Amino acid sequence: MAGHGDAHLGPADEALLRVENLHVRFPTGRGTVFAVTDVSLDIRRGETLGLVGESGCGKSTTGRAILQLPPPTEGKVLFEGTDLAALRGETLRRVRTRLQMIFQDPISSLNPNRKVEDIVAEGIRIWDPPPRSPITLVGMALAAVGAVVLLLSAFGVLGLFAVGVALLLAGAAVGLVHVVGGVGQRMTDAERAKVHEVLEAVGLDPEAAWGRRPHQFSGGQCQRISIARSVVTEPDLIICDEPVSALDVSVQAQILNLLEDLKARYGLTLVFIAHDLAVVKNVSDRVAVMYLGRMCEVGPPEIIYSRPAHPYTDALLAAIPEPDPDLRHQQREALAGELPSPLAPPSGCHFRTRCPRAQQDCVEVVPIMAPTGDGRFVACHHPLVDVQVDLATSGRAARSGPDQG
Amino acid sequence: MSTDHLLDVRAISTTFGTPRGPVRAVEDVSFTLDRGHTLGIVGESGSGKSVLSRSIMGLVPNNATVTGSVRFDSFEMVGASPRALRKVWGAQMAMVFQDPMTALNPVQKIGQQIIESIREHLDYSGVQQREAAVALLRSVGIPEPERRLSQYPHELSGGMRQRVVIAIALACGPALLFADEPTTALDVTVQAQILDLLAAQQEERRMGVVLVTHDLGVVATRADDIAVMYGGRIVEKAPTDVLFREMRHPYTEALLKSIPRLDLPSHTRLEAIGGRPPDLLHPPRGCRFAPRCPYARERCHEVEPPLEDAGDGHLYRCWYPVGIASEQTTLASVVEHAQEREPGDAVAAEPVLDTPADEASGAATDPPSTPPREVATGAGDGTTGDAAPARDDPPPAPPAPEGTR
Repeated sequence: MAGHGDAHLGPADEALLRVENLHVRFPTGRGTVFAVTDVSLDIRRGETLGLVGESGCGKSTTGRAILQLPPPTEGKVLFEGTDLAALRGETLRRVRTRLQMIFQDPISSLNPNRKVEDIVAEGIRIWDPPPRSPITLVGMALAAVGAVVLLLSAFGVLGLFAVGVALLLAGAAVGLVHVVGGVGQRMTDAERAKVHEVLEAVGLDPEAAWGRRPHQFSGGQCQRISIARSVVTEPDLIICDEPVSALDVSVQAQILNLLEDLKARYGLTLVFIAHDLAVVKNVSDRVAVMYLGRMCEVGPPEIIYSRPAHPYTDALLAAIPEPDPDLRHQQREALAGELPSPLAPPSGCHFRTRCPRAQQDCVEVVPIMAPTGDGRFVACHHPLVDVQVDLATSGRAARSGPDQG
Repeated sequence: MSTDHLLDVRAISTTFGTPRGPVRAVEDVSFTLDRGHTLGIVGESGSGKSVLSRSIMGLVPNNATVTGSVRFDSFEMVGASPRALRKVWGAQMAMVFQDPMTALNPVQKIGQQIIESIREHLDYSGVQQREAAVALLRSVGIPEPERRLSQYPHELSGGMRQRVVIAIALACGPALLFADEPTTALDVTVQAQILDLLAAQQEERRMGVVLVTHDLGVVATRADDIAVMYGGRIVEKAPTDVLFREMRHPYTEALLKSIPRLDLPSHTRLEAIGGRPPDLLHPPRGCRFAPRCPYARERCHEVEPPLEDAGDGHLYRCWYPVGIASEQTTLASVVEHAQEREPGDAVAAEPVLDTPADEASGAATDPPSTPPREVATGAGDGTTGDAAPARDDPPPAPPAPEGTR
């Protein structure tokens, strides 16, 4: 795929989130993995951006880099104009309450030892910690006495070395059980009301769910709990990383409907990452197609799906099995070849090694994003739809020069 | 007459003995399959589709009991000795497993894994074995087959590994191939490659293929007949074209309606199936689908419908079939009735809420006209370990919390 450029970005002040020239590289023993290369994106408030591509295309890495998990190697992540990549420590933690994530596997992303209400309440608790509970005080007291006894033993004043160690460990254990296991953590009325509200919003009966642990729920219900956990801090942006791919189709439909409902109810902006083009189309206002760490094509789903401009999008759409037996005799050309190694991505356009339209210029020059005149942008030298040459974009391209310096 | 068919399955049932009681994973399933034909088995997780194919092959664990009859080329598989089955496995009947990462032995070279079954069943010299392995790898589209023989599975991509798994299954020229979710772990473009490969090999070798999948799209263009499974039973079986044109079972209809489709516009409301699959420890007394069925009447909760033959090989298990008792659903009618999601729709306004497993069965054992709605809150009910709480769907008149109607 494609290439780079930022012609597809709207005015900076309209975007809730604006990702500029994002690079993520992972050093490994065998060389550097180019996971994301020069990706630019913007998301307007209230919009759902679908990020679609096959495994290894960098869609999840992009989503995580937005949340600074880990921070990108290069590039800017502007959230309401603030560059998250430049923030550190407490300020970054403060901003993160407004950005949340929903993970693919609903069961393993919930702590099996904790009760549902604790899982959901954790976010608000961190931001508005309740006063120290008695059990914390007990743990602290045990640890403090243990430390004193240990110190005295060390100087030979007391001969109770083992007792000191035991007290210290007991204090630490109480603290651990309290913090990690959630034992003895009280919930304030405000927290309780909030947890009630979000559980209700995701379609779980708070009364019935209260006090239960994740293993007592089905996969679809666990995903609802994950969603409740992510909306409880009242975020502006939620990054959904393959939220339905581990679910059965009937449950998948429930969760997709739920996400759209919550989006309207809480005024959310979503980045929806998925490999399933039909699912992405169903929820997205705009779709971005990625291949091997680069952007191929961005635009409204109706336009991209009916008239793909990038040869990769075309191949991807052709490969989807539609539930229609009449398409049986339709000749479809499966995309040949294999995904190149992200350790050594091809020069020029990343897709050129498998592209039926590749020419010499695809080897030499990284294509830049160019508009096709219908709200869609494509990074391809030989697109399936004519592009409008934009002087501003080509000027920028000349300046940015060959990619990944 | 059973000798006419390659595979003749009669009234096969598989029961797993578990500490909590017998689980009837497959119940009373019958079908026939001829050479060169493909049967698609569709169902969600827990529908018994994988257990069915394993029961036919005799690959079930020790705590499972299989009853009924499976005649393969007039050889009775059920109750056959392990020694007799060993002669059949690999040589005449083979399976392609879902996950190519775990189906291959990670510490054995690919060549050895392919040659293993050739050595077991065919009287080949060492050189011939190697040549056969190279030819197999070439036929499944693996480049540089000679070099691959001495590689380990981790050196190949997921798609290549699945090709190796297929090569192993095809090694001795089986007459019958089970493909158990062969592409679920793969990307769409790779999925298309693998399905094309299976189809080409099937044509070349005139194999019978049983294609097990959760994806109606995969079977729509690949299978001659489709069997839809629900709760361990076949609920509908028909030639592919007939099934899509005149589907009769409400579950088939619900599956089709819940799939996000490429030809529908963005933000189309998906018709989710409310509730949960039946608990096979305590299956409902009547129709297995009745607790989730929009058309269910009293009779459905009382008496299980038989598998009725409507002619043309179309079988279905329903008292009030779609298209007869209600309006016919087809691919076109789903498009016609597509509605955009309305922002502000309360989540409770649609039957998206999961029902606890024991509630579904409880609805059938109690008087069916008054399904118990509060079972989930019974915390003292120790026997229902997997009972998950959820607010149930208030069927026709939802108490929209926002009151925005």
